[in-house]
Amino acid sequence: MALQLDSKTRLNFEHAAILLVEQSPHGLEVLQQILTGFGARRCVRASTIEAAQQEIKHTVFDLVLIDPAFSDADGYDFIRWLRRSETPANRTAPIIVLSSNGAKSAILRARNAGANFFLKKPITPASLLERIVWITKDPRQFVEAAQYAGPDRRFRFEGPPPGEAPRRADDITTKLDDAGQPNLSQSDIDALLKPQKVQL
Amino acid sequence: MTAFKMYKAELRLTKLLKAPGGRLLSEQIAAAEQRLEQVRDSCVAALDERIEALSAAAGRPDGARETYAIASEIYGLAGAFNLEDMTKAAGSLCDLLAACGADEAPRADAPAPPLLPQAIQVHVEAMRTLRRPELSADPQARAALLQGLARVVARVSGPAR
Repeated sequence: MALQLDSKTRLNFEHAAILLVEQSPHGLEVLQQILTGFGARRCVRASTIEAAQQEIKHTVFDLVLIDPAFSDADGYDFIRWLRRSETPANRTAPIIVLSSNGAKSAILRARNAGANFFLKKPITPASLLERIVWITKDPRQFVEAAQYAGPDRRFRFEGPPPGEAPRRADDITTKLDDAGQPNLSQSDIDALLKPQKVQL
Repeated sequence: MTAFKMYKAELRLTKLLKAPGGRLLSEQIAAAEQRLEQVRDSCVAALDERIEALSAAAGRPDGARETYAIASEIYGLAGAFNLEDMTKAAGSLCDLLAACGADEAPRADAPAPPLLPQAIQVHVEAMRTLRRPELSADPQARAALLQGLARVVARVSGPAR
């Protein structure tokens, strides 16, 4: 559901520490301008994964935005690393993946790395603000397990992993499609990560 | 037994955003769009340099991942500033490269994915052409260019987005 722009809701970004991770300086500039327009004053840019990791070690962030497309690294590895961070506050920080690849395989990669939401580029101020509002209303618990750390992925009953016995009474055994399908629409992407309505 | 924890993490962001002050959502979006306009010229001008970087990366045997990253960058920039045709051209290339596996992380134990150099070069040339001022007033030529890209992608990997 789209944001209701006539809403009387006010959001105060002034004190939110936001980490922007993207290889492109111009992409970072776009993100910074959008967030500054929202009122954010504490945006930190990182154009390499190493720089982002250094920032994480020294600062507690309230939100992380990342485009995982790096020439020499994998942004999803960074998300997995962050979810194992020694700083609990950063470990559970909400993460929005921004990507030009809207294929189901890419969305599942983001989800399985521990991202909260996935927003397909190109980014608009309204679409980004909407996802941030969604984060504030996200009731999911945080999971730490051997193979995964991040928001609970089990909001849709897709059943246990292949070959494993059900773990909940309402588990069903559903075979997921293989990756490699055409790009999904943004609404389909949202449905994969966390369907919900914004009620302001 | 595997260690497993599930808990409700404190979400500082919610508390911060709900703090007194702030602006209406409509005001925030308008302000963000206004700020984007302030950097439009510099970001759009950067497209020319990025297109040339794209061409150079595509020519390198190990340039698959970099080619994808630059194509993705062009897609994001063009889209952010409503350059519809450039967005479509770059998006078509992103799809093509992703189909080749170029969006995957490089692995030391795996060779770089093979690309489709001719199809990539067609996209690069299309992007260069779209940047030519004379094309901005010729919607038919732009449409024909994009249709050509769609045919290229359909031929090598299926329908374009």
